[in-house]
Amino acid sequence: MTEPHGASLFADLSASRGGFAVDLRFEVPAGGCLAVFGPNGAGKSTLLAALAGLLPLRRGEVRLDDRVLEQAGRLRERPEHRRITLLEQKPRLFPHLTLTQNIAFGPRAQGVTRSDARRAALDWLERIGLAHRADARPHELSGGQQQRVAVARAFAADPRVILLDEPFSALDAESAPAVRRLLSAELARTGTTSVLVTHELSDAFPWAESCLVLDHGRVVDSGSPHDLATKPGHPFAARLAGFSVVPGTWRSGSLQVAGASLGGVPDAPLAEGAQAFGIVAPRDVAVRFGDAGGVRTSIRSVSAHAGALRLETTVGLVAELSLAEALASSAGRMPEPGDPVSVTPSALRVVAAPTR
Amino acid sequence: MTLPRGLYVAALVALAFLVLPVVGLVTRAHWSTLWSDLFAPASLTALWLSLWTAACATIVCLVLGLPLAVVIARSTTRLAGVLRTIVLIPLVLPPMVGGLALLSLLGRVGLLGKPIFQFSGFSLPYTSAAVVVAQAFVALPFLVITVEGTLRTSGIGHEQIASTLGAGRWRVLGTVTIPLIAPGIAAGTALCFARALGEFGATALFAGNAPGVTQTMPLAIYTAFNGVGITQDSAVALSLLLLVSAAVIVGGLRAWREDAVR
Repeated sequence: MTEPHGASLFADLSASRGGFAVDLRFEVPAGGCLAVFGPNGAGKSTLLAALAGLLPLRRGEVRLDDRVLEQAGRLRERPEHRRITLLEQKPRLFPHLTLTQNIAFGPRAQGVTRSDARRAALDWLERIGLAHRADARPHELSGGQQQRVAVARAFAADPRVILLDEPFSALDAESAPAVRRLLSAELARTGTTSVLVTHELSDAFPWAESCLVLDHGRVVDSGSPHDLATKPGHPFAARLAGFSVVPGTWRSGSLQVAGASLGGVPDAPLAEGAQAFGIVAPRDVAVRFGDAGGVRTSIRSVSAHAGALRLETTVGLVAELSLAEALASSAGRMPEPGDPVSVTPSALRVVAAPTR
Repeated sequence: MTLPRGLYVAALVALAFLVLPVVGLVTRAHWSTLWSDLFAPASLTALWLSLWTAACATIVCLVLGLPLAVVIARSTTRLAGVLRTIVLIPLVLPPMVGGLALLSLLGRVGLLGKPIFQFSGFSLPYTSAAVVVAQAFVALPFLVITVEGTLRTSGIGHEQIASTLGAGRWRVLGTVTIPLIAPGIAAGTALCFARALGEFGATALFAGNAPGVTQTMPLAIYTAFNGVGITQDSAVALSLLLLVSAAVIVGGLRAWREDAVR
């Protein structure tokens, strides 16, 4: 990547739409990427709409480098002047236009001549491997091809910031990698600043330097993708990173779950009787079949992944063990939902339950 | 799920209720003289007047109705509800009342008509232009409601993307919104034209029944059965023409929509 083409994005804002509200502050350096996670209804799409200018701020401001794009109640630059484009999970190509016209739409709207815009669009089609479909209509393409055209259309508009709203979530396993590669290559080539909303922590690793976890419109966890993957501080972030999360009560220096005392090390001092969550990697959860100490529970579901079995229990703890281990501890029988088990987590971190 | 047999019988009765009058009309026609009845000078005059006034009324509806449909579709739910109710009034109003309302507004002593007449000496009622106004008044809801429905279905996602790509509001309207709802506009236009072509009550009261000036096809048919004007055979031929036009428009729209769905 040479000199980043993107601008630094600063936001300190509050906005709401259709019952979803968001209130936060962040800064993304020029050419950087911020990944935003959160459960459904956390306010992620509301945030992107506010940044794009599709939704007025209730409080605060949005700045691009030194340029103020919006100050609540005082100044509001319209979306077409912000140079912030949006790429959603649906490609939303214009169905009445050809692929070339779709990609040329942004340049044309910004005053580029018809012939120059067409030439640029044809270059983009070449780059995304669809030059032979230049005059096709969007409905003639597969979902993955349509999303590649949507990526090209977004970058062809020469944005300073691109907002990515779960751009891979509507794609099947075959077409998603091609779109991922294209987006990754274009972000690196152009140095465009980006904000990525996603449900996959793995999406953040190639691009994002920093991440935010939203819940009910507020930041509940933040850090680098590595921080979130190894030491998440919020139950949602922990589940996102593949940890097993169990709710309990903090008493006498130990997390109490379903009548069992699991120990655990709190991230911060916890008051006696405080509601808390235990966070543990599934491989650090020991399982014994029958009643053998630890938390007495039963198996809710059994799944297999890369030769290992994942057992989800009714208290919420998930254990991961090899097939051989599972067979050895269950007298040679495959574990089934409903089987009584005792689970004992080791290396348990304890975090306070989020307050609403 | 199999429906109760009685329901099919009731549905058949309803269908017969709609179809049998049409059958009656078709059996009454003198097929051997149909063309000469249709193209008799008096009926041809009514036919031509109907066609051009309905075309003008449709253009008026497009010019006035499209902006209104867009505003309703993009309004808050509450405001849209109020606006939609206002638009629907001419649809449920007895056409004669519509004609009286137009006279009260644009007549020589009407709210607007009086100052216009005093200032310019121009009086709208009982002119061909009045026919266009009466037709547009009753046909406008068809266009607005059809286009507004299409706009709501198409949503605002494409428009928002277009604006983030750098397109201003007029550009978004012209290059994204209107093309996206083109099928709805075409359907609304066809329905609007059909309604204008068949308009009777408001035209009779507001524009009168002068052959060659305001006597459209429906008025000519009515007059014929009062024993004056065109012959009753010509009236039946014109009625068949209106019937075929309506069938072609409704059938055409249906086929087109099915094609669009496929």
